[in-house]
Amino acid sequence: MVSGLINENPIVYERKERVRDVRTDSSNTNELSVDAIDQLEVFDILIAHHIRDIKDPEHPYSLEQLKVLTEDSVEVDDTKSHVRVTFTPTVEHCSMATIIGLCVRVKLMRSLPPRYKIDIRVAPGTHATEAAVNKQLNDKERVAAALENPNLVEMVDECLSPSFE
Amino acid sequence: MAAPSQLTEHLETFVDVTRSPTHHADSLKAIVASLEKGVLSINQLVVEMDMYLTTTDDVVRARGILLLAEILNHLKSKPLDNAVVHSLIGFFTAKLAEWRSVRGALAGCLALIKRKDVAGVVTATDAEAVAKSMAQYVQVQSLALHDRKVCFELLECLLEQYPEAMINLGDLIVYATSEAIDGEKDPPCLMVAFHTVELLARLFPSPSGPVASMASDLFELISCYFPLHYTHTKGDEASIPREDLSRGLSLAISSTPFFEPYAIPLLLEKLSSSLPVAKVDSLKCLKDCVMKYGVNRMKKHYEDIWSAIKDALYSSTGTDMSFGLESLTSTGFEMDEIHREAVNLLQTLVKQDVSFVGLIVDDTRVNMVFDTISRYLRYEEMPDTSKLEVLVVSQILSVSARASVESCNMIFETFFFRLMNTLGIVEKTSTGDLVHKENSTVSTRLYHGGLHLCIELLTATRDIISSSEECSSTPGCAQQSWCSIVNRFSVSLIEAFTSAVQSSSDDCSADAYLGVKGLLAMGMFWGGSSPVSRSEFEKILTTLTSLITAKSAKTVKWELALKALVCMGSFIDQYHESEKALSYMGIVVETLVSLVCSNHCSLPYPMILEATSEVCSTSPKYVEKMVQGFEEAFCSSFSDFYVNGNPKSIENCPQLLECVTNKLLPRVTEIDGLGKMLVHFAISMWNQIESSVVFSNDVTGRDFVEAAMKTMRQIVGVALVDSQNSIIQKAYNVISSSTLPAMKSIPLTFAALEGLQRDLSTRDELILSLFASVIIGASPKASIPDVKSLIKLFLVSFLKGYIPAAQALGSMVNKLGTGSGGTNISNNCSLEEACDIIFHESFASGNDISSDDSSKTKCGSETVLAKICLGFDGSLDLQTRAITGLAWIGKGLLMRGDGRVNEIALVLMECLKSTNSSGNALHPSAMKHAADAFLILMSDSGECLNRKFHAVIRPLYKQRFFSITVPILESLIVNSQTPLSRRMLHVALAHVISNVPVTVVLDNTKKLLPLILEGLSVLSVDSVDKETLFSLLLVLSGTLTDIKGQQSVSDNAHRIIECLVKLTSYPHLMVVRETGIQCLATLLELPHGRIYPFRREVLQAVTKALDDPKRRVREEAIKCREACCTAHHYTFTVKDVPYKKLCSTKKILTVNGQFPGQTLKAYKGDTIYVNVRNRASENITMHWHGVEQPRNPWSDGPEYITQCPIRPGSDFLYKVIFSIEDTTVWWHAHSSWTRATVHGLIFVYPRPPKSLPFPKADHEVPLILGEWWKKDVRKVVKLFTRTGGDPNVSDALTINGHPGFLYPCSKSDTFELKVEKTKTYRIRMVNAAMNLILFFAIAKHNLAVVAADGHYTKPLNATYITISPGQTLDLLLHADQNPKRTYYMAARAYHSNPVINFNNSTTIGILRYTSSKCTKTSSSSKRYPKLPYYNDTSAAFSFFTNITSLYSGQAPVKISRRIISTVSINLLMCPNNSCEGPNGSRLAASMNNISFVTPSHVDILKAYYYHIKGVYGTRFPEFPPLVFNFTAEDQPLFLQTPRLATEVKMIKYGEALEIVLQGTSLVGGGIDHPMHLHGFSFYVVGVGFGNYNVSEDPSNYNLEDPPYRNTVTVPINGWVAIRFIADNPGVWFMHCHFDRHLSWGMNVVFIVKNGRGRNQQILPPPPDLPPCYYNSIV
Repeated sequence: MVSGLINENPIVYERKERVRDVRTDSSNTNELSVDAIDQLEVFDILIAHHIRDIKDPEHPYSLEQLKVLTEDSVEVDDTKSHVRVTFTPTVEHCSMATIIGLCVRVKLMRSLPPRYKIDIRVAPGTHATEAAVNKQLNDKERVAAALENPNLVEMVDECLSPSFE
Repeated sequence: MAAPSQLTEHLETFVDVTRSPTHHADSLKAIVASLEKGVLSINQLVVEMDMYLTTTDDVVRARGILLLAEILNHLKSKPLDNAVVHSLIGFFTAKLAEWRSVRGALAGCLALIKRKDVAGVVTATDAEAVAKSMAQYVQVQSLALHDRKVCFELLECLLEQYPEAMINLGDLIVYATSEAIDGEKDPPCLMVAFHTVELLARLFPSPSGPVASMASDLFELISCYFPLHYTHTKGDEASIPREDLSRGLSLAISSTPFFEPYAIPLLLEKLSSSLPVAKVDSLKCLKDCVMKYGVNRMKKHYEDIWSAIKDALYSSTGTDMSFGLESLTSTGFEMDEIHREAVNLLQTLVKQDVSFVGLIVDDTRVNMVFDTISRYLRYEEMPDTSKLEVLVVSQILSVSARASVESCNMIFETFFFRLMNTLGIVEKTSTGDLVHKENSTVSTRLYHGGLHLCIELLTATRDIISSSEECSSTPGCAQQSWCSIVNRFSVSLIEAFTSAVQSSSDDCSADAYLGVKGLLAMGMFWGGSSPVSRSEFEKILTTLTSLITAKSAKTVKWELALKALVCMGSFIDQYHESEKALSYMGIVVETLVSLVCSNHCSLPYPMILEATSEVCSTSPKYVEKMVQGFEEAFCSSFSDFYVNGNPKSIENCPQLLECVTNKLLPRVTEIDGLGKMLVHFAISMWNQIESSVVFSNDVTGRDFVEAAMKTMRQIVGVALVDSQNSIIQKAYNVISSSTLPAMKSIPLTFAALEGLQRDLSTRDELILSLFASVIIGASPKASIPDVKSLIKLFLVSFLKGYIPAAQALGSMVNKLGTGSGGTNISNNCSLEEACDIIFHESFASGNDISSDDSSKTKCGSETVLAKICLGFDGSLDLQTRAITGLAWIGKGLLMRGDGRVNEIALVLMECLKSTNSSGNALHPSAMKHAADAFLILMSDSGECLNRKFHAVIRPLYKQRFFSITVPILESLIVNSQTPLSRRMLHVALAHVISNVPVTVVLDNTKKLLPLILEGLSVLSVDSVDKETLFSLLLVLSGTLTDIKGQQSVSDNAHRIIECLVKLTSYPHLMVVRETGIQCLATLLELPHGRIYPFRREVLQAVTKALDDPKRRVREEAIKCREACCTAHHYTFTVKDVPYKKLCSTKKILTVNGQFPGQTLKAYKGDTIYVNVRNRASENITMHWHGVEQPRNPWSDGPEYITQCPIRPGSDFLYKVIFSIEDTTVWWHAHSSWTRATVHGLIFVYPRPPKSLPFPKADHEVPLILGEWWKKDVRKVVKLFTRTGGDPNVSDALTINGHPGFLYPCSKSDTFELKVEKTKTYRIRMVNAAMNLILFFAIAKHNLAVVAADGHYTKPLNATYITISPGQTLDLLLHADQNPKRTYYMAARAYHSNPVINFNNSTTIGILRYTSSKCTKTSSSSKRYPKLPYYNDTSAAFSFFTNITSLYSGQAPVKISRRIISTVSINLLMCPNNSCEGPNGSRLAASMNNISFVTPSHVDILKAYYYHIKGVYGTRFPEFPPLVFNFTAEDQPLFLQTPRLATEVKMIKYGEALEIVLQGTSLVGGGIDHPMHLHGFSFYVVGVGFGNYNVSEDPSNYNLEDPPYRNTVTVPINGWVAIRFIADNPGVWFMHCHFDRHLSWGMNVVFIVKNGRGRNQQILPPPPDLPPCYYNSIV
């Protein structure tokens, strides 16, 4: 095991208050209209939404508080069933990047309709081994293999576990 | 108390400390009672108690004194002799010196000192003695909590009641008190302590007194608590809230001026801390101090305090101001607690000493603001710092101005001119004088900051007026200088504000806000000496009114102006300013009311109405004006529309009426006379209709009619009975003059009815509708003329399709004859008569309509309403109208609890059948109306028949109707013939169920749930029923969460889930899908086993819902999916819990307090996590018996084999990986003998879509056979390991923990299985006994074995079963016997060796049929099962050998290695033959003559994994080291002695092994051995008696379908052969499952090495593996 944390003293940002009613909520008015899955919804899934919250494996802060994920980092195209999440590791050599990416992917896999293709990337220029991480995160077989590894699965589950706050 | 002996007895009880507290309390009560009654006198008591009070036994004496004290405490109000009190107090005072009895002494003193206002009070001298003695002897802080509290209370009492005596004591009492307080930490004690300090300060006010001299010490004692900080949990805090204690402390600190030199610096210091609580507390305390210490003492601190206040204000003020409506009358920004306290302190300071204002006046920061505000013109331009400055300064100034008149004057004198100057209202002339600037160019110089300050100051003055007026009748404010200043500038100020409002554009709300607020401030001065003259006031009003009328759209400015006007209106009304009221009326009210009437205005009509109603609601006078205006407006537009035919004029009427209903009606109770005005309004409505005889316009104006009806209903509803009567009379006059009475002519022919579609004239329709509204609103006491003909009128008109008529009829029926007193509705008609008219009035059938059914309906025959409903006569339209009408009448009857409603319900239900009684098919539309009729009957109607309209409502009427109709509907549904009728019946039922209170549904869940579910599936077909479906679904969701419904929900789980899964894709209504998913999520929380089999279906449905078009559904789906996936974690808390069995209670080790433990459930292939938390006092490990745990020996569990034990207080997370297990396995503890009580079953289910290879049973029954010792099992183990002999045999056998009635005290402790005839039960059984193989059978019932040890077997029918410890069996029980009899199930031992002691008792369980009606069964009808005899070896083994695997050809045919091992009992020599085994030796057991020694410091797995040497050897022999006739009757003694060693057998990965286990007859002739192997299941290929023969026996093996097990029984003096592939790397234990043999060493460990492949290696160790404590280099 590596001793000590990789980034011991991260900058913690405030959680942004989200105003939900701004969005067009057609549910009450028209039974047949369709709410397409949008950026904010995916972001909510990842961050603030439900009981569970993705956490940084190293810190008790959520990824939003560390600005690893922001609302703008999510791109969604509902018609093409495609979602791309670009995240920014806290430090350039963060070895946790793959774990964070894996968490994001697992969370989305569990929460989005199966038709979606999920694309996870590290923000350009924010990680030392950017290409390698991107490749690892988007290789179907490698992800499947990673999820076979009980230690990794446990870690991912830990990240996705509820934070009782 | 009659006899002294009784008294003595009570005394004895009390002084005996071994008795329970309730005994003590009882005896105390008895003694007190007799004292109160006077049976016993105090003197007698004391004499009687003499011995207890003076004995040398410390404990008894202490108790005796305490008793006396307690008694006195209870007699507080009983008069006592002064002498007695004197001697008692003397006694207690003396006892204070004695620390053992101090508790009683203190309590006694307190009880006596507390005496007040009754005969027998402690004298001052005695009190002084008490205080002295206390000061001398009692060390308060060394006492217990309760005694300390008593001490403080005693001090408090003394100080409060004997001030003179205490003053005499002087220094002494102060010393004593401070000593007592020093170091106190308990909040309740501190509370009292703080009060004592306060009292002390009050006693010694003199500067030369003891308090003054000791002020510094005393202050130090109490100041250390400041600021109060609780470290306790919240639970403790509840006793004394922090606020109270903090208040007490603050009072103590401020109690005496002598504290001043110490307190103020401390408080100022704390104020500068960063802790908000400290700041708030300091500010509060400073305020107290300012008030108490006096001006002189405080003066020197002013500057410090002022700067502290400033800091607090600046740091706690936010810069965001709101310009909303709500802040118009408040400060406009939020204050936090610090801010509020700072403001309070400032105000107190100024109030105490006006000279404080001087500081403010001279403050540079304050002055600077005035220089800088002119820099920024508009609010938006100001930087945050500047905003903050303005806000804080305005606060400071307005607060200080508010404090007193003088300060107000000062502030105004200093600052107002400057302000005016900045605003440009005055200018400095060259000579330095300030002069008014003529024709000022105010508009160009609007400074936001200046305006704000100005307004704040003006509002402050207003408060000054009200406070000064309230407290004294000081001569007006006109004389005050501030007033004259305001007066001088009022004109220009108003101008400035006006221009601010008018110049502001809509995007700049700040200016408009300030302008309006300023005007409001100016308009709110009151009293004759107001600085604002009437003309100026009127100017303000005009400005605001013009703001309102000018606008054509709703803007912030408009709303602000309206709000300001409303404020002023209510202000005027509050202070009775008659002059201003006149102006208000003239300028505001009349303008607005005229706008209402004119309706030629640019302002939209709703806005006019809103403004008018808001403004006018401020005073009754205005309301009157408004109602008049409304009336006028209504009349003019009504006649304009109907008479002149102007279609536009009616448009505003509905809005007008709506305004009346929504704004005015709710305020009838508040405003006097409004009711009368409204009645007048209603009557003038009728007048208008009456006078407009001919309607030129034939357009009905639907909106208008509806609004008019609503208004009419509500006016009548709120009116008094007299007024109601007059309205009714008026209405009746109108109706009788119309053409309507012609319709009363009944009998009417059908032909006529048919012809009369909507044939009423517009006027008649309006009259009819309004009249119906009047009737609906009328109270039961109102008198209605000519009821009978009205009934007929309504009857005919609803048959024509006028629903209001039906509602009115329902309302009439509801209220008839219920009014009390002379005048009521029934004075000319009773309910009976009315019903008679309604139900039995005949309608003549015309000749022409009976064509379809001429045989039944003869020409000219008569028919009644019910028949029309059933469609015998008349058209479909008529039928549906009749049904709806009937429903309303029915509702009227139902609510008053009249029985006739049942007939109506029956008629309606008749309509729901597919055919009526005469065989005619009913039309779908009629059926639909009939179904909806139930909604009318059950739901609350807003339009009529509710409390607002005086309906008679009998309590629980819905429940009554529910219980009558549901059974009928249910049977109708069962017998329904067509799908349509079925659907309609379900609709009706859904209406009934969803409208009845939920509690009723919950009480009947069992019955209703199937109906609801059926209803849901029927209703989900058609989108028409979506609303009904939803309300029914809501009922279902209510039952899911309620505790009452839970049992039946659990029983019906599969049906509910099926139904809900369907609803998750219901296309027609989003909320249905959403609620469906929510319900599913709720269901997942039900007991796991019920839901587990359906998890897959749920998951599929929810996953599909992730793609739902609606966001809300998707959100629910995500939540539900997460709930699905988290069901894999369990927590096992191991702890000691007392259980009572066999007449005695003992503490046993349990998991989560349950014995036997909970059942775990999983799908085949699942992985579950079990967190074992050891909260017991001994080590524990957990084993998952029969779970192979591929590659994961870490979680297997045997103590010191695969892990070190979990120590008390620590946790370990077991990861249990299910792989090939199919049916039932189990879990148990695996350290020492702890598994005796720590065990439970694991149910494994086939993973869908795979299913069971045998018929699915209706129910599953867990059945655990166990053994029970009355002694602590730990002691049993200790004893036999120490002595070396046999362990004690158990005292009972148990079924699911119940011994059964054959054992003592166990009559009620008998397991009972309730079965229903013809159902099948799957018994999932384990033998969890420690040392016994068991026979088990159920009387008269065969058991079909379908699985053993977690794997399917070929079905085997058996009359009894044999089960060894550790084995599991799945048995199918078919309940096919006579249900009137009771059957017993029984289990007892199979034991082949008579030499060895064993438990030969029998445990009994009961099998009872629930369907049997006779609950009592005679003893003759009870059946006991037949069990084989104890030593019937052939019976036992014929059962074992009959079990075969379900699958063929699975066992390894070729083997790579054969290991033969003996399993035998041995003896070890003891020194001097001192052991208790045979011949004084120690019993042992061995495999291949090696008695296994369990490592004691590190486990074998860890030693293997981390290569720790010296823990085990690897030389376990593959063949018995000594070959002899293993089963001979006599064995040479030397064979008995084993070798003690820890030897393991290393196995290569993937080897095909055969292990032969050979029993021996050593020591006592042999016994059977149930051998269990961890980590594998094996095929039992051969079993035989005698010695195993390598060359012959393998040829007789069953290699085709051998049983696949994990525990096999080696027969007495026989052998078994097992085979398996060693494909599970790890350390695996093999041992005899008789725990005594295990303890003696009949064990071996196999280490299967890693293979080459990735999947052939041991998994890495878990991080939280329990640590071992060993000294080793590694």
